[in-house]
Amino acid sequence: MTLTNEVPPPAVAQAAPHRQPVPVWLYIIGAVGIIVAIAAVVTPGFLTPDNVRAILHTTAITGIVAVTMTPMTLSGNLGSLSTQQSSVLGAVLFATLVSRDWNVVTAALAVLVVVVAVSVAQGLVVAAGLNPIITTLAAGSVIAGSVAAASRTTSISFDGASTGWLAGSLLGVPASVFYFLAVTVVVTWLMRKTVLGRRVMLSGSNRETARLTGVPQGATVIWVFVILGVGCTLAGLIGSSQVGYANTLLFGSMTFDVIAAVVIGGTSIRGGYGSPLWSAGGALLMSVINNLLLLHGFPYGVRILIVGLLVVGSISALQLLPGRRAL
Amino acid sequence: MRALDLLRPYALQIGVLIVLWMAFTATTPMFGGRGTLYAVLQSFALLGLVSAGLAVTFICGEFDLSVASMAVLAAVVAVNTAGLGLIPALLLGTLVGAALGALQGGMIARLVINSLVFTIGSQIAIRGLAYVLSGNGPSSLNDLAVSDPLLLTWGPLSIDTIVAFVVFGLVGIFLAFSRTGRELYAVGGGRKEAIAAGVSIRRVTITAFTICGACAALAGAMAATKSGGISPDSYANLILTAPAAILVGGFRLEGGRGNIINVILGVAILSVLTVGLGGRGVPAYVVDLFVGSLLLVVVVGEFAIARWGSRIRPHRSFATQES
Repeated sequence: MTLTNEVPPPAVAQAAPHRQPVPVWLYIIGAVGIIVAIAAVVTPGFLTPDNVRAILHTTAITGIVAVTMTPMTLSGNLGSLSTQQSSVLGAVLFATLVSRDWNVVTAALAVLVVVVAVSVAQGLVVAAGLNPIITTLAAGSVIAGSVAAASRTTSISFDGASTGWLAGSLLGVPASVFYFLAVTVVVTWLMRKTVLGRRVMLSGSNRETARLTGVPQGATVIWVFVILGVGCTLAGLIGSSQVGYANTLLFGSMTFDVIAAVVIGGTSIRGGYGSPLWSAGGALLMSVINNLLLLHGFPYGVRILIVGLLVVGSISALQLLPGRRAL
Repeated sequence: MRALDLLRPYALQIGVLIVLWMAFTATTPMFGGRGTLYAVLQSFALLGLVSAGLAVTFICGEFDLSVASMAVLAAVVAVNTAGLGLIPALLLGTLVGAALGALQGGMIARLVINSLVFTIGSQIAIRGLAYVLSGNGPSSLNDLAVSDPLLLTWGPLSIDTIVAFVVFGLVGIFLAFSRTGRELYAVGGGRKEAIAAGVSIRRVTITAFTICGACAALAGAMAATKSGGISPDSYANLILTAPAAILVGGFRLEGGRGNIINVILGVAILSVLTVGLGGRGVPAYVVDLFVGSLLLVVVVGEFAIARWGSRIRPHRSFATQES
């Protein structure tokens, strides 16, 4: 009797290629997209170059901030309620420096340092474990109060001659659109292809697992706030350059527009699921809807009502996704 | 000594209130006396009522960010229906708030969703509705005589502050003595344990958001009819001051803690701060700066004490919500 110690070859589990389930939001966004397409065809003046340029122009600043806030949302830290105030800080500081004859590039770099530092300060508090909404809400009023006190709530004008690279246009397309595209590409790449991106996604989808597998929680949160700070800086620079002045009233509805864009784009506000690219799409979709309603003469109230309902719809739909409920 | 024991849980807030009052009395000549007391009590009608409602959601571990929008919506409803008379208009505004609050609570419970996340979205829609109903601009009372009863005063009290304190009393009794009130604390203190003990999360959540919506709505409706009109972009500040008031008063984001006395103390602290700074001619944005700083100090302080006290990893109630 011969004993064979031949072991049957192990059944190699065919590793299923990593695929995300077909997301419900895709159907919703698809349906909305079709509605928008039909509306676009029947709305005179929608597909004119001027109108398309106007849509892109209004999308750019909200879009930049929405895209750069998405990593924060993906990391499970909900969102920031101080994006408007941070962008105003950037705008007012930039206007002040440029009006005092600073070199534009030096001024822009100084603004970047300050706004990112303010963002990181909030990141440190959030990284310690505090609620991000409350932290950014309180920080927002501190930033707004400080900026208003420092600028005495006046408008600071500056000579726009040297800020063409921020507010000009290339081939008929506003510069802000190129910044929006660049930011979207860079942040999407950061989230998809870098270690930081993977850490952000893991922290957002399962904080405890992330901690146990050695993801540096604090550093991840702080990097996320650095990205947001860069976005608010860009918004401040571009926004103030476009109008040639800065005051505390700029970017009036930014804070909630940005959150709306991220959510409408389909990123789960509880983290771990979504993409900066989707937020760019969300911002664009919001602009298109706003523009359509505007062309049809709908007043401001109807427009925010519809945006609000879309946000509620997106949040609810994402919540009902299979497997997302247990988070 | 017994009275002192009763006051002990509120020692910090009472201390802050006394120090603030004395500091302003010493530094601001206009501060003190009946005029100041009247001004401080005035803010109980708007900020106080909104905070009381918000506090009910805080107790069960939820956070209604839509209170400012709710107050505006009810204000628009009340101002536009003032032709029916003052009380029907106020009731109608409050009913709208209660109904929308119940709807929100129902959806939050049904979707098992983080209420902070849900109300970030719904508050945009509710403000949009306020804009639509007000015709996208300020609306004012056609007949200013309708609001006359609200302008009556007795010493430092006026009708709206009296109404506010009656509501505080009702909410306080509800929280302390009713079955649902106790269940709110149970859910906030330990959600899983509450479910295991047979508490209906759905009923508790709907109750909390209904009360919150109704309080915010009543506050907005009274404030707007008293001032004779409403602009749909008003009250945006409440999104900062109402959570600040109750967190300063001793509530916690995690829920399960705080009662109506904490609300009153928190609102009183914010109100003294606002009135005192206003009396020194400090502009509104600087007041916001102080409120924001105070909120940060309180939240960071609470967090540090809790962490240092328990030495365990803190549970972040809003980032992760198990259910």
